[in-house]
Amino acid sequence: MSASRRGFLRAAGLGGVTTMAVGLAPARARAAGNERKAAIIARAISYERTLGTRSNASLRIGIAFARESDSSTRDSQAWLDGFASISDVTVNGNAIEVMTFPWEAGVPDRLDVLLVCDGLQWQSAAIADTTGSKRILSVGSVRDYLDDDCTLGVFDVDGKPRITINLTSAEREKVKFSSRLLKLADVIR
Amino acid sequence: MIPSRWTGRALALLAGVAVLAPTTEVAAQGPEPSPNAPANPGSSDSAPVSSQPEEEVEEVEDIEDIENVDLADLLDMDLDEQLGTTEAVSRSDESILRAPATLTTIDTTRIRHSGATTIPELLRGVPGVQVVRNAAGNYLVSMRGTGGLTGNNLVVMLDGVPLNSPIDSSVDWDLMGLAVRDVERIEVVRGPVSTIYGADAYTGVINIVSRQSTLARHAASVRGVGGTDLGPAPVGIGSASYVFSGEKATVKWFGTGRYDDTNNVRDGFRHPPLTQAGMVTSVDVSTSERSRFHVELGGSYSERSSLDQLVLESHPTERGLAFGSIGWSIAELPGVLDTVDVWARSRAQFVRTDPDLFTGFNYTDTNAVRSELGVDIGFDFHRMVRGRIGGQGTVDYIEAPYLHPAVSGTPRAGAAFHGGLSIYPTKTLDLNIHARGDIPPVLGRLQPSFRTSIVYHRDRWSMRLAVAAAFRSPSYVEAGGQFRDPATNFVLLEGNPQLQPPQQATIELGSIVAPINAVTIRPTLYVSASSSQVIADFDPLVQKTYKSEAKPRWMTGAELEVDWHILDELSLAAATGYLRFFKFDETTTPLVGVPEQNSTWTAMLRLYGTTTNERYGYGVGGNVASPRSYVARAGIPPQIIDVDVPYTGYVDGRFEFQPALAVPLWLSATGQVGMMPRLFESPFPLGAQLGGLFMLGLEWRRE
Repeated sequence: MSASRRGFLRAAGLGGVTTMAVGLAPARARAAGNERKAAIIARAISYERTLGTRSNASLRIGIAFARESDSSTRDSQAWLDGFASISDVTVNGNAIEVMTFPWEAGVPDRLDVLLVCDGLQWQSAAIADTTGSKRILSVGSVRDYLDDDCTLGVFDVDGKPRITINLTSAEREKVKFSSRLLKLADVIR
Repeated sequence: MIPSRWTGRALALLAGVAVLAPTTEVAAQGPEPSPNAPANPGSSDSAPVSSQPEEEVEEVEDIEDIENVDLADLLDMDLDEQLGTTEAVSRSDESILRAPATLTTIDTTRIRHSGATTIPELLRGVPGVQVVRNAAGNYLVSMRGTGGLTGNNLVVMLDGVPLNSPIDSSVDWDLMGLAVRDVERIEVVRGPVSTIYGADAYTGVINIVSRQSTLARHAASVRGVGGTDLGPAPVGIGSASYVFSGEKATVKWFGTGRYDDTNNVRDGFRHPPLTQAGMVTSVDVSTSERSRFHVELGGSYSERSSLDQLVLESHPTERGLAFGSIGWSIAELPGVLDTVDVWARSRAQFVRTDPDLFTGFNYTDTNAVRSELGVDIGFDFHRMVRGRIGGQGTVDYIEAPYLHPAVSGTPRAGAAFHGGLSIYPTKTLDLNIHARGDIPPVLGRLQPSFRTSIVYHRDRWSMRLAVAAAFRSPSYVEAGGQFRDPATNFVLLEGNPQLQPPQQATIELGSIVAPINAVTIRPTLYVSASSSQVIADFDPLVQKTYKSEAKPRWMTGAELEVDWHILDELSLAAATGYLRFFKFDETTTPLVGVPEQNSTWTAMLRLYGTTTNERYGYGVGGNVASPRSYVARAGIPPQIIDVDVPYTGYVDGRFEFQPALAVPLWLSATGQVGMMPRLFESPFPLGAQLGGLFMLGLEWRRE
């Protein structure tokens, strides 16, 4: 095979892969790892209409885990890694700052987003109080959180990531999402 | 990797068609979905887990500005999920991608950022739809070759409740009871759909869906808009709404009022202004996990011009409409039973005018009530076969001095039954067959209609072939009219009880294609035969009666719609329609279906969107229709109308903004100008000019 033909096939293959990834990726179902979920969460947050009035130069995301639970700690690390992969991303011009903290240590100051890891279901009432009083957007790591306390979550449905939004929690946290996001999300009232 | 939005979309667009088939072959390998579930063939089982993290790191690592990434791409949404579902085509929830008829949906974003101030104005530019404005609040809307002197050849519904007049199936667009800004979406189904909607839906159906709040549990708004035309003459619109969306119940209330004297002149003659008020309220309750109860009530009153194909004079005419519907539905029943819907609906209409103002025919002292009771049952025989049967009874009560004494004041009953099957032999193929028999109260005899379709669908496109036949019941005026000249007692109009129902049969090939997530293209081709159209028969010289055209009229048409979601904040909609009659009797002039009375082509282009997280909204667009001419006898006593309508069209725009994020107030500016403001588009000699309109508005909106 000539070098030019190999080059052409390589380019065609690359073009095909890129096309599939960009334009036709939806045809192939893929469960979403934390990297993709982090990107989706960041994109969803960019649709939050009051974001500009609450955050300063950066978007502060706190990942809360249960200190005594190994699985909760691992969940928080996975999320930290996920957001690390999009560390250069800005949301409406704001850089993302991500930190993990045990829930028992208390919520850091000036948080814009609280991501609640698995293992904190027993703290649901306290979480709701905190996010409501401090106007923090809550993100649930597992689906259970969305039924009561958290506003936003990304979960796999039939092998594809899907956004879920709890409008009652959103009202409590004084969060307003644009209609464009709500059209693409599963909405709980 | 995910390149920037523009690079990625360009790459995908160029390669889209070539690689569609192979990619969707891969996607087809997965567990079979349930028949009516969105076409979502993949599952996590079909993708190797071990390779995912590496692909995802490659795909997300190049993101810089997150708002430049399309969310639908990140969510791997296929076309079926993006288009969503509709109940407009088959009266049951189904995927738009797989719907067996041509459907255009005008969504809330496009409505909110349009310069249209009435619902018919929103319909301009929908391919296959012809909109003609006669005077303020007075419109004729027709579909696919049935443009002419009447607007009673399609069915218009509000939240699924038909609002056509029981007397002559005409549509009082001023009596919708809903402000434009309270419309969630408008679904325009084109083609014969009598199998679903009964008599009169023989060219299509327009379903107006009232606003549904998705942003908050409680949503409310109060609006005031005022302005002027080029005259100047005033227009003022006020409306208010409240929507509660709870876990188990949705309650909605809408109220609107309008005074409109704009663009209401023609050669020095001024039509009566439009005065209109209306209200709609609905309650939807989930009585259990599988059942829901729904009730809706509405009413409207208006006073406007009397201009009509029987009334060529323009005097104030009062009209009122009240409607109600109640329904209970239950789903997921055991065994082969799937759904049961029991419903009842009723509408009442009156028309009042001062007959002393008229020298000829008028609709005064008209009272009409139509009540219907029905049941629809869905069956789930097998994952590949679903069925549906149903029936309804109808009772009409019509009182009018221009109807034959044997018709006026006599209740008349009708009935209908329907049945159909949907077969899903493969995951990508849907077969539908539906038949219906109607005994309309006017006709008193059985009239069949049917529709059959094949829909082939993949992730990025679908194609449908549909064959359907439907009919319109003759109106009470056409079949049972009797109007006497008050001065001479001569019968100037006599209905014909032997009139055949106008019919239309259509074969249609259509497609929905999305080469990339952001672009949807919907082409349609059709051939239709329209038969037994109603002809106004003036052989008795002065007396008008009706007869059915003997020979069919054949037409062909093409429609193309493109929606391009350019950015989150910018969308483009474009559409064009073409119509050509190729075989017809040139010696007859029916009320509708005359080639010269239908625009050969129409076109529409619109840009709209929001910015700064919806604090600013904008829209600009235009539409154009090719020339028409009307040479016909109309009115009672008859006059010859000879009207040439040149190229007509509008340019419109709307801009709104929220001055302060903390304050839920929006200011708006709306403008609409006829391309040649002194031109007119009405077939009637007094039809008003296109004109122009400019309005400022203030809205308090809590969502």
